[in-house]
Amino acid sequence: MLTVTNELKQGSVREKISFGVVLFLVFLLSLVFIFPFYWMLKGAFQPSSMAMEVPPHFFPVKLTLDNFVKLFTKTQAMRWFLNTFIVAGSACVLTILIGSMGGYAFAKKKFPGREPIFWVLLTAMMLPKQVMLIPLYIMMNKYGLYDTYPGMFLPMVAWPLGLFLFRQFMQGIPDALLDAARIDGAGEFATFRHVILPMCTSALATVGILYFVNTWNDYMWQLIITKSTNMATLSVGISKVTRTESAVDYGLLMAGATFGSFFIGAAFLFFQKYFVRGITMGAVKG
Amino acid sequence: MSAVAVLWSRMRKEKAAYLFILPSVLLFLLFVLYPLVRSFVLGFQEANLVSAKWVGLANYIEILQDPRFHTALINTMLFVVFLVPTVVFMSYFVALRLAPLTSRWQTYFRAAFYLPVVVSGVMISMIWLWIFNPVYGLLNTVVGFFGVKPVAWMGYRGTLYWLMVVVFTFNFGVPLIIYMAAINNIPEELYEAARIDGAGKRTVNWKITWPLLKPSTFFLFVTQTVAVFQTWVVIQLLTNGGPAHSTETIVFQIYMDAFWYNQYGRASAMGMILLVIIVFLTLAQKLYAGDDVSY
Repeated sequence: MLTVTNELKQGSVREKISFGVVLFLVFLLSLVFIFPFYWMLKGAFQPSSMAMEVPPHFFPVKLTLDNFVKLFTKTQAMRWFLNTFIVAGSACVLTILIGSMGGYAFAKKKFPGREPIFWVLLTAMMLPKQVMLIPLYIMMNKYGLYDTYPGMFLPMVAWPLGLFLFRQFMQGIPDALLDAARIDGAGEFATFRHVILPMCTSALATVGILYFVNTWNDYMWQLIITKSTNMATLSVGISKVTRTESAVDYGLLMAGATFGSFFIGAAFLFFQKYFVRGITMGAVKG
Repeated sequence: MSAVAVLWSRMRKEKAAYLFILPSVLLFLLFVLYPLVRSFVLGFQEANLVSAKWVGLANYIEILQDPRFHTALINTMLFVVFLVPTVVFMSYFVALRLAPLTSRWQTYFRAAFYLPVVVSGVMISMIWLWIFNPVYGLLNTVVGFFGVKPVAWMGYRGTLYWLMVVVFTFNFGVPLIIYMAAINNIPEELYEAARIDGAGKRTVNWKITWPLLKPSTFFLFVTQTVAVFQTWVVIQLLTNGGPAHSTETIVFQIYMDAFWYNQYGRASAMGMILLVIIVFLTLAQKLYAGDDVSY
């Protein structure tokens, strides 16, 4: 028999049944969450004319790659993928570098002004990001960063969440280690690079993935800051497929959605632990 | 030595610390704090990309008297009132149900509920756009089985609530995972002691698990409120605020006013109103939850 639970081997029959019923309801709920992805894959791999069928076949009857061929020839999907990768990668790497340095100083250094500066960083982080978009947009236009990669990722890097998470993690590092390094004559940067960073690899991975995913999935800022089809990210590019054509080609759209979610979806399966840790620490879906 | 000199010598001693925080602080000043202050100023101006004119409180007066804003405010509140408690309480009950499962089933459920959190909201909205389509959409076929006539899901009075269903799937994963982790952290002895005292399952849930998870619950209420306030992608892609502006929220109107109608002053003022509401709600929740929780 299928083992579903470790406990409840001894519970009463009534208890077992009510447990089973509720679990079945939870299972049905989970289908609401996964079903759209099944429908997306089905729509992507069947001929696009079949997306217009009423009533639709629930299971795929004919498989084809036509939608993907169209996606890669008629749209700039590959370019959008590259743009998204560059922007998300930059945000990830820069945050790891800058955030870990800052987090270290706030966690382990006692310098005048530490508390007030940290308080300002922390408070700003609780405010809604949308409030800052207009001045940012004006600024980016003024300094020639509109429709450029730096314009896309710099506001992401500036968000102090990474620093905050690094600080929290590094507070757990014993001071004795730092004292030992100092006694051995290691300079400030050498201590940071050779003592602190090697102890923080899991925090580096967590924060890195968090920033990569958040930037990868960002939509509002990317929609505002990009203009040309060449600079579009996957989210912006694929969402515009619906806007440019009068009749929506759902086959093409589902191929785009599949392509757009494949990379992060696959990465999620491989690095589930870091995803879960990172996103529960700071995810807010716009 | 004077106090200033003491401070100066301490600062010089720790000059490495200032170098460490310099990049973060510079980026923060440029791309977070300055925009925040500038937004506050813009709220009192009539502005576009090239010019700005001082208008005092005109933007605020105009917004507060605008029926379109009233709709947005009500919609935003409906989102918060319906979604936040539903997401938090349901994730708690589901987490309770999942706790005794074997790890393989837990992995399945965790992945299933978490996938919509990980994948871009744009991609998922695209799929729902198709499912909700009045002619080719799956949903109308499904309700057709039950004899319901085709519904324009994204263009009638109930549209707002269907948007909530989609947002629900976006927001459910995070609280679930947090509750699952928190339940795992409760020491087994507490449950054993309760069982010896003859407490039933229901009593254990309400008298032990729920009170112990109060800090998580508070944290989730605060973060979910902020998250729900920021709902935007789904509205932008599924209804674009329609039909007839009936599904617009505050954040959606900020975006439209700023980047569609080029009314930077009005949009900034609305941003400030949003900020005040969020800060107020956060503080209210903190007061209500008492001093024993911190986050």
